[in-house]
Amino acid sequence: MSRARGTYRRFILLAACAAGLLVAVGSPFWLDAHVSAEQTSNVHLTHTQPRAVMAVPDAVLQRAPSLLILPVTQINNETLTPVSVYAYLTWSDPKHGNRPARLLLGQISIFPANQPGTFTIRLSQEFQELLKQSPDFHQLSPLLVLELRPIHSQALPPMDLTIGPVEWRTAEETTASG
Amino acid sequence: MDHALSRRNFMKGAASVGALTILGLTGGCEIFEMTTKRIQNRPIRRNISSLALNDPIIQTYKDAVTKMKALPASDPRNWTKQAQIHLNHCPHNNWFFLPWHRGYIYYFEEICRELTGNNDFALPYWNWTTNRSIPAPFWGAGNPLNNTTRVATQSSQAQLSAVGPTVLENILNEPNFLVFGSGQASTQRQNSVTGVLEGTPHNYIHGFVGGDMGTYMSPLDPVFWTHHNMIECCWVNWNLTRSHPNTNDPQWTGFTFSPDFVDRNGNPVTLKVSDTFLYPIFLYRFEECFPVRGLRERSSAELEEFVKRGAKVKLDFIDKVEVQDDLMLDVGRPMTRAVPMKADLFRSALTTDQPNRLLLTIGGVTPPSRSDVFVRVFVNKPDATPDTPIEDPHYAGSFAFFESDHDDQHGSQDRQFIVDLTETVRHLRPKGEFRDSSQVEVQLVPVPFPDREPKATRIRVNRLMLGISAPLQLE
Repeated sequence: MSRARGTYRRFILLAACAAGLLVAVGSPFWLDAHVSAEQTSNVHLTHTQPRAVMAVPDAVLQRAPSLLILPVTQINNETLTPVSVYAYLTWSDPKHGNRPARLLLGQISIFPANQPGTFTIRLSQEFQELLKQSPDFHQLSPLLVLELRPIHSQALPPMDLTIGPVEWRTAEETTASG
Repeated sequence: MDHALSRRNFMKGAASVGALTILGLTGGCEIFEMTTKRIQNRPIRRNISSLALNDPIIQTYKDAVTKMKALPASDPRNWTKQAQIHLNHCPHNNWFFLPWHRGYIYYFEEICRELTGNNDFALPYWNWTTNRSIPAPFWGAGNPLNNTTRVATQSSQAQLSAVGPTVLENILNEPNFLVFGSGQASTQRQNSVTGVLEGTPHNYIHGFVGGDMGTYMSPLDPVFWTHHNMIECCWVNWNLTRSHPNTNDPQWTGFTFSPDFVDRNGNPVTLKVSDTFLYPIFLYRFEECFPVRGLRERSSAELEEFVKRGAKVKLDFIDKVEVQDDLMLDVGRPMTRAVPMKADLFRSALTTDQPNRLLLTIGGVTPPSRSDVFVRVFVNKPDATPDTPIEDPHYAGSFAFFESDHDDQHGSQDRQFIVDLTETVRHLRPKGEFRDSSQVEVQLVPVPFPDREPKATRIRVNRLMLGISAPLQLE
């Protein structure tokens, strides 16, 4: 249990450092993001707070996951405005003066626009290469960013969406039954 | 003359390929030649953006939509009635998504043929990867293919991050059917895990077009049929062009959509998932939506053979060791067993550049009487408990039970599950955990589902088998 607490503290520290760094370099993209260090908590995205940021645990990266599962457990979208959820990975890039770098992991869309569901993003070869080429990638404070966006260029009307604890899976964890 | 294969002919021809081959080998017969010719000349579903606005395919589609809209509401082929089939029956977010829509658009295509008298008609598809705007044939005042509820305009472009070639290539290279085509479900409208094809380009295009397309009445927009034809083209490309096998789980292959669709004459149709496997081989073909360089084009006969083999696909084990035991698992009582392994074969699965996999089969499983627990599998983790997180490097996978597992008709007394241990042992090996490579210690840990108070949790397992398999290959 003390190991778990240590890991938890490390996540908080990582997230806080990374968020601080992002704010320090003045990237307006991240200023209104919610930062959560707790990987297992729900994430709430709304028209006023459409982004959430969370730490990516070391253990997740060491397993080289191939899938990111996003359980959209609840959505209030009375106007049925078509929306997508984008998932990014962001980290401080030492090759570019520790400026924040980001990689689009993928996007999912809600259909119909008020229908919850558990969605899958297949992590790209680019993501796998990133982990392979940088064995110490976890030290670069990687963060997962989830962002709610309308499909058409318009302001988001009032809406809120809850994403349950995200799950990183390796291909083998999608088990086959006999 | 009816150039399309009737369902009866199709079933006669497609499902008994062996018999047809025998007929051919024994000197040939007219039925064999006629059926073969029909298969060879089956209609080609084309990319709508490659067609001129006055192309007969587009003219027929317009004509068909006009005639369906003119049918009385009492006719099940009526335009709105067709959309209501989707509203009332469409499976989404589960593994019935692909075969159900395959059947749905096939019978729609048949109705178009019947109403227009054009039996060569093949429904075109909208390739949103190469043409990210709603194609020109769907626009214009008074055009039966137009739909005034759309949010997208003629110049709106779908985003590359949803439908671009890199995204689609990534999706089409996913080898696991449950990830590609959405997850297991025991009923047609049960929410499971939404697969990558459904959750990204499919859902996005529904929202992108908007209006009717953003709802379950989406078939009211003629774009719907060409959008789902593109989804169908993706499945055909994934399955037949790239040779990724569909699941052979009998809960999927044996599932019946009954009676969701109507045929060209408006009669109800009962359709089994396995009936749909051969549709793209015998009933239509596609102008390829994602050409793969360097692949040899295969004949219908070769594809038939592929699908037949695909349906019977099994994991081939290079070697395996089985341990017979009578194990009782319970929440709070995880089980540890050491399974012996031949050292050289074990090492071959531990090397990352080897394609061999180390698979654990948990057999002779009697499920709990209620589905309120699932089982996690760990390697070399004797202190594993239900609270051990799946981020733990010893975690290998999990398996769960359907409600129908408790039905004796489904053979509930001998369920078996496979968990791939390869990546876990590869991660653990550098940490010195397998100095003794003559055995693997596994833990089976029953875990209650979140927010449930498990009532009947006893799970019986009487067989563990550790095997080295080559990767799943169909060819």
